[in-house]
Amino acid sequence: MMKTDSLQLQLGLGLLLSLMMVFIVLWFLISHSIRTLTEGYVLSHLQNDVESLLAAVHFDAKNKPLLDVTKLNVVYLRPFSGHYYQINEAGITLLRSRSLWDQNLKFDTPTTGQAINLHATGPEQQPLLLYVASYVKSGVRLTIAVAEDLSPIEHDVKRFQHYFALTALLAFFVLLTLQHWLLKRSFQPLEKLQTEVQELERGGIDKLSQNVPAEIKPLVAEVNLLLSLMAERLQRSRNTLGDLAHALKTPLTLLRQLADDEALSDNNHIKKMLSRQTDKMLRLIRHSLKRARLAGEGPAGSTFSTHDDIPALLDTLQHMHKEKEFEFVPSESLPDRLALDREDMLELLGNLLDNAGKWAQQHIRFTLCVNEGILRCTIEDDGPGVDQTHLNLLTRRGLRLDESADGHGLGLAIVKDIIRQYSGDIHFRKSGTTGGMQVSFEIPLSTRASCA
Amino acid sequence: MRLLLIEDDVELACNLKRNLDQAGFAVDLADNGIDGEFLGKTEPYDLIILDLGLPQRSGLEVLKNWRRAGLGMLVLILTARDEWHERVEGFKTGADDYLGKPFHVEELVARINALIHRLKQQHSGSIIKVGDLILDEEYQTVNNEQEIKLELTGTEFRLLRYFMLNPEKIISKATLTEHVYDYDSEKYSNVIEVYINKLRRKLGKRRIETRWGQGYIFRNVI
Repeated sequence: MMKTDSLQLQLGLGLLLSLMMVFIVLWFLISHSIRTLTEGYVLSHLQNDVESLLAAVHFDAKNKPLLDVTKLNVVYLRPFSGHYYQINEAGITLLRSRSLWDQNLKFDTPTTGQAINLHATGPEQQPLLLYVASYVKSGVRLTIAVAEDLSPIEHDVKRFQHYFALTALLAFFVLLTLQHWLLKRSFQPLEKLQTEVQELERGGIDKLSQNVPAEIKPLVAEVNLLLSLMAERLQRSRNTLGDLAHALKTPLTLLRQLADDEALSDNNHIKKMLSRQTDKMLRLIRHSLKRARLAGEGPAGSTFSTHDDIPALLDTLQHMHKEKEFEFVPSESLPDRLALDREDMLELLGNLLDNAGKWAQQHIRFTLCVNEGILRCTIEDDGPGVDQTHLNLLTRRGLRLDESADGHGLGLAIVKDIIRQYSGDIHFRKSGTTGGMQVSFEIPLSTRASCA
Repeated sequence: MRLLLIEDDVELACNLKRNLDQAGFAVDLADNGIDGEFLGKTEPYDLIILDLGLPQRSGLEVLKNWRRAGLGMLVLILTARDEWHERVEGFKTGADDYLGKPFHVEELVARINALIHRLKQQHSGSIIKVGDLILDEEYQTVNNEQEIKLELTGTEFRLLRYFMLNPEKIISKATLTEHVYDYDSEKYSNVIEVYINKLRRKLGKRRIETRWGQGYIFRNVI
C-alpha cells in the first residue's frame, strides 16, 4: 500500500510525468515532421505538374490558350479525384481540370516568375495543397495552379498518431512496472535494515550490518557510530558511579565497625549516632547510585534473557537461601529475549525474590509471562505476610527514601525506581493461597519488540 | 580454621583480622589480586574472603583462576559491588557466598560459620555438635557430656573446633598447625602437643587418640 509520502509513489509519479512529456513532445515533433516531409514531396511533384501544364499550353489563332488533354495525367480528368489544376489569366479562369467539375480554386496571383503554395479547402471539403506559379508564355501572362488533396496524408498521420499513442501507453505500462520492480529491489536492503533495527532494540545484535548498498552505507555507519558512542558513554558513567560506590563503601564499612568498637561501649549515645549516620549515608549513596545507573529502555547494555539469566539468578538465590525452595513457573510462550536491560531486571527480580526468600517459611513461587506486550510477574511466599495498612503503605506511589526506610529497606525503593523507569505498576497483597505476601508487577514491553 | 582475607584497604583488613582473630580464626592477609591468588593456591585455607575490586588482578579473575585450577575451598566474596548482576556473576564464577559492603563483623562471622558448618554437615547457627559435646562458637565454650560448660582459651577453641569439624579422621600435627595458626605465627609442633594435653584434661583422655607417626583422631563417643 502506498502512502502520500512514499518514495516509491514519488518516483513513480516523476517517471510518469517525464515520460508523458517526452511522449507528447515526440508526438508533435513526429506528426509535424511527417506532415512537412510529405507536403514537401507533394509540392515537388505539384511543381513538376505545373511545369508539364505550362509545356502543354498552346495558343490558338485568337490567342486563346488551349491544353492538350492527352498529355495530362488521367487523375485530372476524373471528377473530384483530388488532383486539380486551373489556369488563369489576369484573375480570369481560362482553363481548369475536368476533375474540378464546376468548382473554382481560389488563390492570389503571384508576380510573374514567382510561385507560392497555400492550403485551401477544395471541392467536397477536401483539404488541398496548392502550388501557384505565374509565367509569361507567348506574351500571355498565365497563372497556373495545381492542387492535391491532402486527406490521404492526413489519414496516414492520424493512423501514425494512433499507433504511436498505443505504443507509448504500452511503454508507459512496461516502464512503470520495471521501475516498481527496480525500486522494490533497491528498497530490500532497507527492509533488512528495519528488521535489524528491531533486532537491535531487542538486543540480539549490537550494531547494524555494513552489507548495504553504497547509498545507505554512510547512514548505517553513522548509526553504528552513535550506538557505540552511546554504549561507551553509558558504560563509562556506570563505571564511574560503580567506582565511586566502591570507593565510598570501604571507608563506610570501617566507620560502621568503629561504632562496634569496644572503646565506645561506655558511650552509647555516640555509638548510636555513629551507626545511625553511617547507615543513613550508606542508604543515600546506594539509592542515588542505583537510581543514576538505571538504564531504562534502549539498546545500550545487553537485554534480559529468560533462558540464561533466570536460572543464574535462581542459582544465586538458592545459594543465599539454602533452606528455601524457589519455584519458577514461566508461561508456555515466554520469549527468551525481553527488551529490558539485563542489569535492571536482575536488580528488580533479585530484590523481590531475595525479600520473599527472607520471609518465606519454605516455598517461593515465581511466575513470569508476556501477554499482549506486557510482562507480568508474580512472586508469592508462604511467610507471615504483612497487614493491610502496611500493604497500602507499600503500594503507595512516590514513597520517599527516608519514609520507605522503615523495615523494608533499600531494596524496595530500588524496585519502585525500576518499575517507575519502565512505566510499570507494582502491587502488594496478601496471597490467597499461602497467606504470605504476594508481589505482582507489570511492565509494558516496547510494542514493536513484542510483535516481532 | 585458617582464613585468607584479600582486601586492598589496609585499615579495613587489619580491623577485620583483629575481629576474626577474636572469633577464633587464623587469618592471613593479602592486599592485591596476584599475591592473593598465589596464597590461595599454595596454602591450605579453609575459607577465603575475597574483595572484588582489587589492584593488579580483579577478584573475579582470581576466583576464576582458582576454580579453573580445580581448587574447591570455600570463597566468600566481600565487596562494595553488590548489585544483583554482580552477585549473579560472582556465584556463576564459583563463589560460595556474597556479602555486600558495608557489613557488620557479626554478620561476616555468622556467614563464615554457616559456610563451614554446611561443608562439614553441621547445623546452622553458632554451635557445633559432635556426640554429646556442644561447642559454642560465639562464647568459645564447650559443654561436656555431663552438660557442664567449660571455658576455653583462644588456641584451645581453635584446636577443638578443627577437631570437632573433622571427627573420626586422622589429622596430622602439620595439618593442625596449618589450620590453627596463621602464616606469621611461629609454629612449634610441641606447642600443639601442649594444647592437646590441655584439651584432654578438660574433655577426657580418650577423646583425642594419638596415632604414633600419623597424628590424632577425635572420637565422636568415648
